[in-house]
Amino acid sequence: MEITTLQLLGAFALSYVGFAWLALTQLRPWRAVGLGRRRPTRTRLVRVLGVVSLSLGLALTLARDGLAFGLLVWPLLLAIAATAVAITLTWRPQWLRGLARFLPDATE
Amino acid sequence: MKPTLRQSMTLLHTWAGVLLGSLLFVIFWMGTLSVFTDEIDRWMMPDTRRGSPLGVVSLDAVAAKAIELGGPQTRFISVSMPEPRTPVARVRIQSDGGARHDRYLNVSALSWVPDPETAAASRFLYPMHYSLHLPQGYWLVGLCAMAMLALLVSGVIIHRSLIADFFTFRPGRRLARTSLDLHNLSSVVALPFHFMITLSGLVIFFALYYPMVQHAVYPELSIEEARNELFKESEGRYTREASGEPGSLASLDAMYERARSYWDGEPLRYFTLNNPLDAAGYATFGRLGNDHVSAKGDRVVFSSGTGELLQEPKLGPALAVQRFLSGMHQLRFDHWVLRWLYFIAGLFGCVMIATGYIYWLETRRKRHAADGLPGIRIVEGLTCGSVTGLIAATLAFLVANRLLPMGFSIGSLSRLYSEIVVFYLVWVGSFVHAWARPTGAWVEQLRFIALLAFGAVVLNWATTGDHLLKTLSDPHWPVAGVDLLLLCTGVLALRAGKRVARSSAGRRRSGLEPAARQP
Repeated sequence: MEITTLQLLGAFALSYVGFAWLALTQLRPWRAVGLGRRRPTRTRLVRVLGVVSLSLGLALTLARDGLAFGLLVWPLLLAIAATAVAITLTWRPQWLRGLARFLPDATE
Repeated sequence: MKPTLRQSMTLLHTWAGVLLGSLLFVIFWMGTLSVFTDEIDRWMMPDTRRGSPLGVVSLDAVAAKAIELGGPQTRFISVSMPEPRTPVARVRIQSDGGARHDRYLNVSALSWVPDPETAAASRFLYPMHYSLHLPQGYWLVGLCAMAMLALLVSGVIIHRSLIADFFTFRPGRRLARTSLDLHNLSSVVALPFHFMITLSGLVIFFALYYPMVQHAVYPELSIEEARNELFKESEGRYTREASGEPGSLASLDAMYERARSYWDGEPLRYFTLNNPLDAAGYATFGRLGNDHVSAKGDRVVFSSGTGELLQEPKLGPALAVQRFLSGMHQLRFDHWVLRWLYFIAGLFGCVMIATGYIYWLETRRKRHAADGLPGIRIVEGLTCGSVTGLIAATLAFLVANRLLPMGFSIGSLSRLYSEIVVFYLVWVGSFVHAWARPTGAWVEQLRFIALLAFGAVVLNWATTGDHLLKTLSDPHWPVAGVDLLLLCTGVLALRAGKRVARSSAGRRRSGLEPAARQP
């Protein structure tokens, strides 16, 4: 696979994971993944992780496409990643359990 | 009592949405399709699917060919050079006396491609995006774009829980809830796109929308002259009148080589000839610009008779911003990832508008039924005709293109106009259908869409032999891509039809709506 394709897939994966973490710090998505009803309270770290993941996606996009094209590609990639997270939460929320375990006081 | 900000914004959002939503849908739908104008053109013009291998081309020979067709009265020639998405040159010729030609040329064989006899995407679907094919239609489009910006801002203000609902999509709930979820999702996640695409669309036509600004800068000139002067000063647009003295063409190939030295060796997108047979004729060369966002043409202009340089590339700072925004909007560069992302984001826009209407309908159905108000019926017909009706009309346009034989005409109506008539007949018909049969229209139109979409794929196979197995195994992506998207459209339409049928059956059970009369 070409390096540019890998960069694109990587940027999408980082955006997806970033949004998934941001979503999991909210009550409804947290309940959807099925790791208990009470939402973890210390969520700031996970939000930071989420934002870092989105930013790494931006860095990868800029490296792939340069400034002008990168700044056009990234927001659109984010739109699709956010939609993908919403769809996952609707139809396959259990897929996000692995990511949910990163929340500091998540319990089984 | 004074209404709160949210109340007044709700009023604005609702009324602007209901009144202009159907036009906005036309603009968004046609804009989304315009991302693939060249591919739709290849699908609708089979003779242009496989052109000449790209390589060295003599511009002198191309120009001679065009003048031969245009005759001694030739006043203007524009040639878009072949490139991977359009493997033949598009040649447009205007002659004194009004004769016009718009043809495709195989540049390596130097032979005219048979007249495709269709307006296809480049002359019908794409112009509809910015003019609606109405006289002065771009004013209406501009109004819609301003309304769109207002809708986006007011929508953000009235959104009750933007952050909390960011990832919310509940397809199992009542249709009103589901459509609001989808409306919020499709607008919020793609908000930067919706905003920038609307704003840049307005910026493209700044000279039309703000004529008085140019007049204010050059108060001594008429508006038309002021506009010419503005573009001359800011981006080196060059014009001069014909002298009346006959002239001939110097070597265009030599001029092109000189032009290219301004472009880092990048090739040519187009060249134009004004008054090529006049002593004061001039030739303009435009840069391909596949590797940058900005649609700066980097024009170089020569005197066509002598080859003397008349104008170097030039771009003032204000227009450089305008060129960047219009380049961003028009996507003339070579970037397939971005092309698909724009297409998807455009579809998000279409979903946003359609679900906005559906939410409006679903939240008012009960109340309007109780109060005996006619609003629901009017808006439901409007929605159905402008959403499913427009999609059906577009597909009927493709089907007509494959069904009507070359050389077809009814009376004075050529094949090209017959396709357009089919488009409008189906579109107008869908409004009539939707108002006449409010209960069954959605499902019936969705099934009609599926039929047309699948039919178009089969007809493409039957009339050109380019079926999907062939276009995928020996890749011919333009045709394969259009066929695959048609199949997706058909499948989605069938699934949506099922969902709507289930939802309206639910409404009938709850006594909100009379049962559809079964024949």
